Amino acid sequence: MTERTDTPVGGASGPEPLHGSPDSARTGDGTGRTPHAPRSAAPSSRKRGGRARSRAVPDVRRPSRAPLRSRLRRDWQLLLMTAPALGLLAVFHYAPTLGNVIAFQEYNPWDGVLGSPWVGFAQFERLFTDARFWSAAGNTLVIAAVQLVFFFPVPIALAILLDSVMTPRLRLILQSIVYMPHFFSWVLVVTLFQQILGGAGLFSQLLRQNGYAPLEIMSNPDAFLFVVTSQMIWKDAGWGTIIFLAALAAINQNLYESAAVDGANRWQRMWHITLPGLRPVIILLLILKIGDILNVGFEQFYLQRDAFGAQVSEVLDTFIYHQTLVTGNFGAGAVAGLVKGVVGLVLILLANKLAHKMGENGIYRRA
Amino acid sequence: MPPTPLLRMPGRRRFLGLVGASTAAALSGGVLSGCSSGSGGGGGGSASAATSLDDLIPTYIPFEGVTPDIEGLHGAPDGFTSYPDTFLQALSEPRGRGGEYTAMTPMWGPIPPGLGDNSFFDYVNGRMGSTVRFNFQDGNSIIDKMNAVIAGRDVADITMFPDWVIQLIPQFNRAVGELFEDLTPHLAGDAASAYPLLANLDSDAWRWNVFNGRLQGVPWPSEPFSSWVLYRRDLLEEYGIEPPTSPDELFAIGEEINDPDNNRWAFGDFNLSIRQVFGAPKQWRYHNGELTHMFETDEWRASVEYMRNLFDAGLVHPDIVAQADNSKELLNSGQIVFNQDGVGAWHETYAAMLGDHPDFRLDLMPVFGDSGRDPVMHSGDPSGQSVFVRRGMEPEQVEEVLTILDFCAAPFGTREYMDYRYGEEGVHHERDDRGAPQLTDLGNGEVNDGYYFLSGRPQAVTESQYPDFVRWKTDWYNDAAQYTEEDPFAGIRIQRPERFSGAETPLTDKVEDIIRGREDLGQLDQAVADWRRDGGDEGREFYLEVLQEHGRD
Repeated sequence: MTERTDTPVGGASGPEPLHGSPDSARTGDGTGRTPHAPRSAAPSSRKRGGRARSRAVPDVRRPSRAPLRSRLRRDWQLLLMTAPALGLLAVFHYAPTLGNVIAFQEYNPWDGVLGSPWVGFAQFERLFTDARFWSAAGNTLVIAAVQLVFFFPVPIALAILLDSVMTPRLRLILQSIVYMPHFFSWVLVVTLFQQILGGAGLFSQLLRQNGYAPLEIMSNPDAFLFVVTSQMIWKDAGWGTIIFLAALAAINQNLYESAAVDGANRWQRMWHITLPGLRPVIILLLILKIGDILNVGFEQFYLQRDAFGAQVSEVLDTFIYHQTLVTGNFGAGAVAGLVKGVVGLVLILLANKLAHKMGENGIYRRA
Repeated sequence: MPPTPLLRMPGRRRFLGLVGASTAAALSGGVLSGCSSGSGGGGGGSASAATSLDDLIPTYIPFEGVTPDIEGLHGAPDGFTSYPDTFLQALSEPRGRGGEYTAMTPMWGPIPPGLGDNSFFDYVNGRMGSTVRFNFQDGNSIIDKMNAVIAGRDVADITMFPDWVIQLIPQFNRAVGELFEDLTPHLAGDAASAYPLLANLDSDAWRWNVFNGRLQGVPWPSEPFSSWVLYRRDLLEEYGIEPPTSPDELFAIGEEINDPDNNRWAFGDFNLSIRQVFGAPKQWRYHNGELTHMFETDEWRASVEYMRNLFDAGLVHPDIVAQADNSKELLNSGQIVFNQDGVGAWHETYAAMLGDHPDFRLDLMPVFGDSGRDPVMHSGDPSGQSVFVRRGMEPEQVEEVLTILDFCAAPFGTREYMDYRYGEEGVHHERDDRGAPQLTDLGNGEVNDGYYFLSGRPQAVTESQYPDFVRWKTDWYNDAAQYTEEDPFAGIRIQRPERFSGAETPLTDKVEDIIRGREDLGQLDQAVADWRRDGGDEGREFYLEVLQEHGRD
C-alpha cells in the first residue's frame, strides 16, 4: 500500500490547490530557511524510505538534519512567532479539554473539577441505558447520512456550474447571491422558511385563498429531513463552492484544450479532467465531513425541535444541551460529548485510512 | 407593574425568544418548572421548611403608605387607578454612612453609563447616603455568569439572583451559606423594625429566602399568577361576542372567529392555563395520605384532550403549531385572538401598541372551570429573586447595606419609589397631565433598573396611564385569586431530585406531540407509566418525606 501512495503524490494537479500554488512551493525550496524547507525535502526521503517501512524513515531523515542547537539558533525567530499560537491552543483548547474529566465525576460547579466526587463509569452506564440518547444518536446518524448524500454533492455541482459561466461579471453576481445566505443566522433561516412554507406562510395562504389545502410540511415529522436538508442547501451550498472553485481554477486549462482538440465533448471533459482534478479536494472534505458526522449542527435543530417533535429532531447536541444546561447535570453532558468526540476521531481515522488506500493524501500524508 | 426579572426567565427551549419577557414566564408558570429544576449533588433533592421558619423571618409590619384605590383580595395585588399628586416620604433622611458597595445584578437592555458619568446614580446614592457601584450582567446569559460567579466564589457586596437561576445552580444550598451573610440576626422578628420597608414585605416571600435554617436573602414578592390567557378584547367586542365562561364556550367562540382565509386564527397555545381550568394540581395533590401528581390526574388528561381537540379543529395558528416564537406578534396583529402569556405582557404590549392603535385592548380571559366546577389557579413561587449580602463584611457595613435594600423596597406612592425608578423630577423625569412620570432625554439615557433589582416591594397594579387597565386587571385578580390552589408544599423551597425532574422532559415532549397530533392520545398512558418508572415514583417518595419532615402529612 505504501508503494501506491508514492505515485499519485507526484501526479498532475494533486494536492496543490490546498497546499499553495506550485510557485510558492518553489520559493519555499529557494529560501531554505522557511519551515517548508525540511518538508519539501521530505518527498524524496519518503520515496526512499517508502518501501523500507516507516521504521526506516527516521534513519533516513536524521542525517539530513542539523543538530538541535544549531537548528534552534537558526530558527529561534520562527519558533518565537509560533509561541502565541501555541499558547492560545494550550490555554483555550488543551487545558479545557482536560475538563472532560468531569465525565467521570458527579460534577458540580461549587466543588469544582478537583473537588467533585468521583463516580467512575456510572455516568457512562446511565447514558448508554438511556433510550433518549440512542434515539438522539440514531437521528443524528440519519440526518448526517442524508446530508452526506444530498447536501455534500450540491456545492460541487454548483461550483462546476458557476465555473462554466463565461461572463466574469455575471459569475460574480451569481456567486454573491449564492454566498449570501451563509451569513444569515439560523434563526433567520428558520423564520424565513416558516414564513414562506409554514402553515400560515406565503404558499399556504395562496393555496388556501384558491381553495386548496395548505402546505403542512413545517410541522410534519415526516417532512423533517426534507426541510432541514433544504434549509442547509439554501444556506450553505453557495459557501461550500468556494473551495471547489479554487480547486477548479487550479486545473490546467491546456488539458481542456487538448482534450477538445482530441474530440472530447463537454461531458467527457468533465468526467476525465474536471472531476479527477477535484478528486483530492473532494476526498479531503469528505473525510472531514465524516469525522464531523455527529456534529450536524445545534441551532438549526434546537430551533425546530418543538416544531417537529423530539422524536425526529433530537440530535446529540440538543440532547447534551438538555442534559446539562437544563438539568445542571454537567457530568452527563460531558460523557455524551466525549462519546461524540471518540466516535468522530475513529471515523476520521478510518476515512483517512480509506483515502490512503485510494491513493489520496487525506488530511495528512503518510509518514 | 414594570417588567420583573422573574418574567425574564429563559424557558427550557426558548432562550432565543427572550426579547419578550413573558413567553418564558408562560413556560415557567405551571408544573413544568422542569425548566427550573435544580439537581442535588447525589441526585437527591433538598427542602427547606416553611412552618418552622416563622421565627427566622421579619415580623410583618405593614407600611401605612398610600391607600390603594382598589384593594387586592385573597392575596391579589392592590390597584392604583392614578398617580398621587404628592408622594409620601417614607424614610426621614439619608441613613447611609457614606460607604461604597458593589452590586451585581442582571440587566435586560443596554448597559447604562457607569458611576461617575451617570447623574441618576449620583442622585439616588445621594438620597440614600451610600454609594452603590453597579456591575451589570447581561440578563440573557445570566445563568452562565452566575454559575461562574458561584464556582469562582467571586461575589459582589450585594448580589441579585433571579429565583430560577438559584434553582438551576447545583449546590446553591451549600454555596449560599459560605458566600453570603446570614441575615437572621439583622432581620428576624422585631429586628426588622429598623428597616420599615423591608418589614413591609410579604412573609411568604421572606420564608422562601431561608436556606439551611438561616435567612439569607431579601425577597422580591411576586404577583400570584405568572401566566394566563390574554385575549383581544377589542376584537371580541367587534364580533359582538361575550368572553367565554366555560371550556365549551371557548371552543365555540374559537370556531366562530376562526378564519384562516383572512389570516385569522382563534388561538395560540394555552396548555398551561387550560389545565388550571380543568382543575389539575400544579404539581402534587395530597389526599388521604397519598400524593397524586398532576400527570396522574383525570383533570390533566382532560386538559390534554381538550388542547388536542383545539389543534385538531385547526383553531390554532400554524406558526404556533410549529412552535414558532411569534405568538405576541400574532396577537398584536390580530392573527390570533386568544394567547397565553405572562400576566406582565399585558402592560408591556400596551406600551408598544397603544401609541399607534389607541383602540387596541387586551384583557385576561375570565377564570372558569369545567362543567360547573371551580378552576384551580396555580400560583407561582412567592419570591421572584433574592438579593444576598456578601459574607465577611463588618456588622455595621451589613446594616448599611440593609438600609440601601430598605430604600429600594419603597412601595408605589412613595417619593423613594419615584427616586429609584425614575430619578429626580424635573431632571430625569417630568410628570404628565395624569401625574405619571415620563422620562426626559437625560432620563432615557441614564435611568435604569439597577436599584429596582436591589430589593422587592409589595406588588401593585399601577399602570394607570393605560385606559381601564388597573380596573380590569385588579378585577380579574380579585376573581382569580379566590381559586388559588392549596399547595401542600406551599412555602417550602424544594430542590427537586434530579431523576424526578429529568423524567419530565420525555413526558412533556410526548404531550406536545399528542397535542399537535403527531401521536395518539392513547400514547399518554405509556408515557405516564414511563415517567413513573424513570423518576416519578422516586419523586413521590421524596415529596412524601418532605411532608412528613414538616409535619404536614
